[in-house]
Amino acid sequence: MTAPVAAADDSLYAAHQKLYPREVGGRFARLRILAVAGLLGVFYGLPWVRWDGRQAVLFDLPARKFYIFGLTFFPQDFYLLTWLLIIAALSLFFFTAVGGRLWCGYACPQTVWTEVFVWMERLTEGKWARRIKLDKGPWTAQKLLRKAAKQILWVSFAVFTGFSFVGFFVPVHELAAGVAALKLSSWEWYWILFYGFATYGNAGYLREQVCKYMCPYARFQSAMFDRNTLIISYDAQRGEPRGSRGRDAALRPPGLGDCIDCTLCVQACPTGIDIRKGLQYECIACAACIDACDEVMDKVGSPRGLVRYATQAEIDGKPTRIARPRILVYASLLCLLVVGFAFAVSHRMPLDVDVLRDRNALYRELNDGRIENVYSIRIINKDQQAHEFKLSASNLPNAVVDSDSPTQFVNAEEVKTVVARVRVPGGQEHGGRNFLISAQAVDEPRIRVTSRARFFAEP
Amino acid sequence: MEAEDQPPPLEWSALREGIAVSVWTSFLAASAETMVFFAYFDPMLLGSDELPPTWLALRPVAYAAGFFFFWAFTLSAAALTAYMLRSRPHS
Ligand code: SF4
Ligand code: SF4
Repeated sequence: MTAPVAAADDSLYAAHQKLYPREVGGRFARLRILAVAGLLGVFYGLPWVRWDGRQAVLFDLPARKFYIFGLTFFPQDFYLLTWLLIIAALSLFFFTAVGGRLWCGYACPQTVWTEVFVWMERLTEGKWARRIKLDKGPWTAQKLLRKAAKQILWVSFAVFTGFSFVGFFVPVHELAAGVAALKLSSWEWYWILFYGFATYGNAGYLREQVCKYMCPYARFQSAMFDRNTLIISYDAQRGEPRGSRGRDAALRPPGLGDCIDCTLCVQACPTGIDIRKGLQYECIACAACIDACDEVMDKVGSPRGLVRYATQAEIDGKPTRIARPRILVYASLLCLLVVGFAFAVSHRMPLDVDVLRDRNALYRELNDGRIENVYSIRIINKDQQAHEFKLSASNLPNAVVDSDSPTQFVNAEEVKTVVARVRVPGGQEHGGRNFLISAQAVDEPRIRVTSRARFFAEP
Repeated sequence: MEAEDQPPPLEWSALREGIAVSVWTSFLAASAETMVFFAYFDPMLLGSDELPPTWLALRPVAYAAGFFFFWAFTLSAAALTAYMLRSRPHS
């Protein structure tokens, strides 16, 4: 028996060998299918969900507004996104320290899409052994048919993936209508094809090479590991010395361990490593080798778990500590950040004000001697309802703010630019000074934002 | 046959790895840069000036142009880094 089956593949990469991981079923394969179905369901389904009469999740870049269920975010809320990314990174640290590469095994887009592409490959080209034969064999009509079927499935799925991706940025109903009528703008086509092509290449061809050569997480995850992290382990104490059995696999020749050296764990590995050599950085913790080995153990009548999720401490026969300083630090930081984030989102001021000085003139002296500076003020009403806003100046004695109307009406989720003239009595100001411009909702005084500006007068 | 008898999967060549990694890391950096940059600068506001060409004031166009502009620079930095790390003569 050979393992892992690798064949020189000169179709795309001169120096790379194509891996044919053997398919296995089992507890962890089922768990992954569940995770894949859930995540892809969210990805492909979310653009179609409606909320309050519009797409529930829409990142409307041309309008510079992000809709996430009932909330609307503007570029001024960018810090919230940064905050969210920090939470995501910290969660990754936390889960890696506790459970090893859980992310890789069940949630990474690379894993998730590869799983689907492999499934399509199996559907069209058959199982492991058949696929090897097919690739080695001559180009018969049957081979052509199977390969063509695979490409059709792959390409359509990839394009659909690109479509769903763009559906997060362009209202998906419009997008679907545009595709049906072949009337999309060139940049919409471009991003659909770009994302589709990336999916096709990564999940169809690159697969484990992405993990091995291109993934930053794969390189730094080991820094979060310690002896109490759950990893995929081979229990060498139980398994060694390994050795094959005779006809009746349940009959154990004396002196041998539980490993019957069938190499099924190696054949199942999508990255082509032998877990019995210990943890290697190529291992993406997909647990395929566990499923493969469990099946063998069931057959030969030994207990499962010769290859299993275990901590290094457990393998060494020592107790595993879950609550350790590293975990506690990650967990408490994570709690703080999440609570803070929830607070920041729920107490977000539904108003923002940007003040820009008029670029044409520093200051102007009016006929009556007063000094005037001109500003253009952007009032960003992030609230779900319209408001009247009143502008005022402070930290600048006797200042009067004048614009086209005493209050400014701004519709829900709209941005309005107002030209405002700020005037002070002549002779009061010399040179420049910082002051504050505020906008306040007339109907709801709680909604009030202040922004800094600079006032100039003759020196 | 023992698993050890198998030839290990062959490695990517240094050139291929250098190109793939440069393209990928610079893509990530350019994406982040684009996000941060356009979170603070609205391309529409550029339109009032004569200096940048007016087509840049179209947001989708400006986003795409900005992204590729950043990618060009991050890619040159990444590729140069990869090249420098590999090309040092070993004594
Ligand atoms: S190694 Fe990287 S690309 Fe591969 S599964 Fe893990 S996170 Fe994803
Ligand atoms: S060794 Fe790692 S990557 Fe290979 S099958 Fe086992 S868990 Fe998956």
